[in-house]
Amino acid sequence: MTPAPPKPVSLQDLEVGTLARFHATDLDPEACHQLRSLGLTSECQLRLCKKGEPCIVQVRSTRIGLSNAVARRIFVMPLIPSV
Amino acid sequence: MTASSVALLGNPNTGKTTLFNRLCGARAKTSNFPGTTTAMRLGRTVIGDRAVDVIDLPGLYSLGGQSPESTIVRDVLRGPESQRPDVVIAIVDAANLVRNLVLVGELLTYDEPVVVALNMVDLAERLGQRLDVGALSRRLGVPVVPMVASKGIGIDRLRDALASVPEPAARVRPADLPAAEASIEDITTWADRVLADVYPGGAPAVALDARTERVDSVLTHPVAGTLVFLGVMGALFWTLFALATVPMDLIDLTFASLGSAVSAVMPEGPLRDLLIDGVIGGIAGTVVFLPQICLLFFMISLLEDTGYLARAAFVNDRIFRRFGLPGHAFVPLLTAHACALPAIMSTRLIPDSRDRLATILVAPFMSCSARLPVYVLLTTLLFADQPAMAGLAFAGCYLLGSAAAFFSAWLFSRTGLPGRPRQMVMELPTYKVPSMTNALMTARDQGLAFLQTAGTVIVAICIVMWWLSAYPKVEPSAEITVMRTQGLEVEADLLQGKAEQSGSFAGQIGRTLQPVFAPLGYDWQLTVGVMTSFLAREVFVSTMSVLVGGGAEAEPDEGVMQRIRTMTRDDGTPVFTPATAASALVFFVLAMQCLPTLAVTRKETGRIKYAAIQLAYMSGLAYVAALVVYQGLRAVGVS
Repeated sequence: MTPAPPKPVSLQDLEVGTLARFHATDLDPEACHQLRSLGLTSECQLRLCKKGEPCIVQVRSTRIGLSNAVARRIFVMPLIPSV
Repeated sequence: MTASSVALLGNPNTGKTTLFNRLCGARAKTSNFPGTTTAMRLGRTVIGDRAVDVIDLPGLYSLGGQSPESTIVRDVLRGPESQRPDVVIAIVDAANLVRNLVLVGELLTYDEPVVVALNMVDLAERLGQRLDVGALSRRLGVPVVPMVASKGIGIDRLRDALASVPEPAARVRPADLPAAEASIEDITTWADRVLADVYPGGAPAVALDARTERVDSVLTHPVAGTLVFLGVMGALFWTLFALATVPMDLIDLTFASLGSAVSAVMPEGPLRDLLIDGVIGGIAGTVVFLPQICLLFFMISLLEDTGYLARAAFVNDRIFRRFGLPGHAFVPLLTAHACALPAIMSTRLIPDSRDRLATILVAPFMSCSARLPVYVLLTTLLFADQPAMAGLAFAGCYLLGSAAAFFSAWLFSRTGLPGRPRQMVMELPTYKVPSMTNALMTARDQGLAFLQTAGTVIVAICIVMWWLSAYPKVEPSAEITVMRTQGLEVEADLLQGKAEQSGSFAGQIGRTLQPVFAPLGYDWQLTVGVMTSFLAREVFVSTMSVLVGGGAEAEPDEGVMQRIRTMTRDDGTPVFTPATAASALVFFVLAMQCLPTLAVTRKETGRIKYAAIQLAYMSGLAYVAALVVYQGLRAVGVS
């Protein structure tokens, strides 16, 4: 039986060290633009480095600090760590 | 083609400032972009045998969006042809190429001549990322110069590339470059394709840096991060106080000597008074701030370069946000304990304009060093024989100032500056050794900017305030004349000083406004003290000293202190009762009483309206709080 595809989860619900694919946000357009210009673009791969305040993610070589309130509103698709 | 002007464009933390300093040396000057309060650095370099102007554009991640930085850069790139730079140097971080190439891709759609400065190639090589520079140049259709700007490597090759930028007709836009209006996603996809083509073994995989992970986990930890922050800021302000005192004393001494020299060669009269007390005194009162401003910006630049400030902003954001202030506000608010002027200038670190304005408006509540002599005088008057209580009251002044700042920020966020501080989203730059050259240049630029803009206004204000305090001249009374005939010159001078203070325009204003301050318990002398210290609060001490027949020293001796303590009103009752001393203390904690601060607020916000709001709000709050303290104490039997 094929396992069910993973569902998008909030960044804050991810385990530290997990790889994930950026899915969506419900932030305002300006905040979205800021995230995209930092490299958090649609479907990009990221790694959660730290949870809490601040939440830290790494996208390619860029480490991005996010306040908890922003991290809660970013949704990602978890990837299998070995991917 | 031969360039006569070039612009530097790049992401933050790519070494843009370092490259600018390498190209222009110490010949840069700072001004604002037209119609904005965003600082612009202009310099000049030599390319071939020509002098070329260099504009340092604000650091940004994308040319799209509505941020002030992207609007400014778009305006520069799309401006009239005569004002557009001939060449744009796009500086990119070789170790973080995709994100940097997004900005380059956006820039290439403008069809401006571009030279790419591929910076930090040493770091990229240490990370095992060896790219084919020739392939990158062919792929982008523009010259690419590998360099390590911090070590000066590649600067000459960059100059050569700038001297031989292809003519517009010879330039080829990359065939697969998305259109100008393409999304960041499309340009990122293009950047990924470019990357795949320029790494011989394919685009490098990015690994986590274990050391950065460990350091970040400490510096952003709620407890450990706060402790580190307190330690760093404690060291910063200890250094600021310890080191700035020496040049400040030297400046005081130099201008005092200059005043004495002028006094010795010029005959007595209004012109001499104007030169010594107005012009020299005004310039001294401005230049004396320079050591603190330069030293502070030197240290902030070092801290920013290390990558620490971004982490510290997150640590403070947890607390500050509750009061409507951003985490970035910690540097200005702490700096304000030394002086509000550099504090307000350092709000340039705050990216959001609402957050920046909120910080500027409340920063002067923090107890600056100029308040110290006033606190010493009034706490000593309040608790004459109780040094422990005086110490507590002294600490209470600092607490009251900080509480007023946070309360006001909270109030503004619910009234005049609605909205919450922008949620923090920030790149955490790579930790690195700071550049001393950059720090020195920053200190020099900020010092010059202060002198050129706020400084001129402050000198003018100082001259006006001197005139109000010195004129009209009061003729010596019969009593003073008799004293002089008896050889009592010192006593006669002191009495004359008191008469002149009282009879000056400032004194007259004080007398006229006394009824306004009567509910606070102030007689005309205390009101004169408040009025004359409108220029700078520390003047209060010297005014009170003059009014009791002492000199104009900032720190009166014990004899003068005793006379201030026993000053009497016209009806013979003491001026400084516990209630009036407490009321005056609260007034000076909260009142603006610093015209240079207002001048800097006007300059940094670009609007005189905000300086007026700051003055009215702080003075109003000070008045009401002092009134409540005075009337409250009287109501419970403390007169």
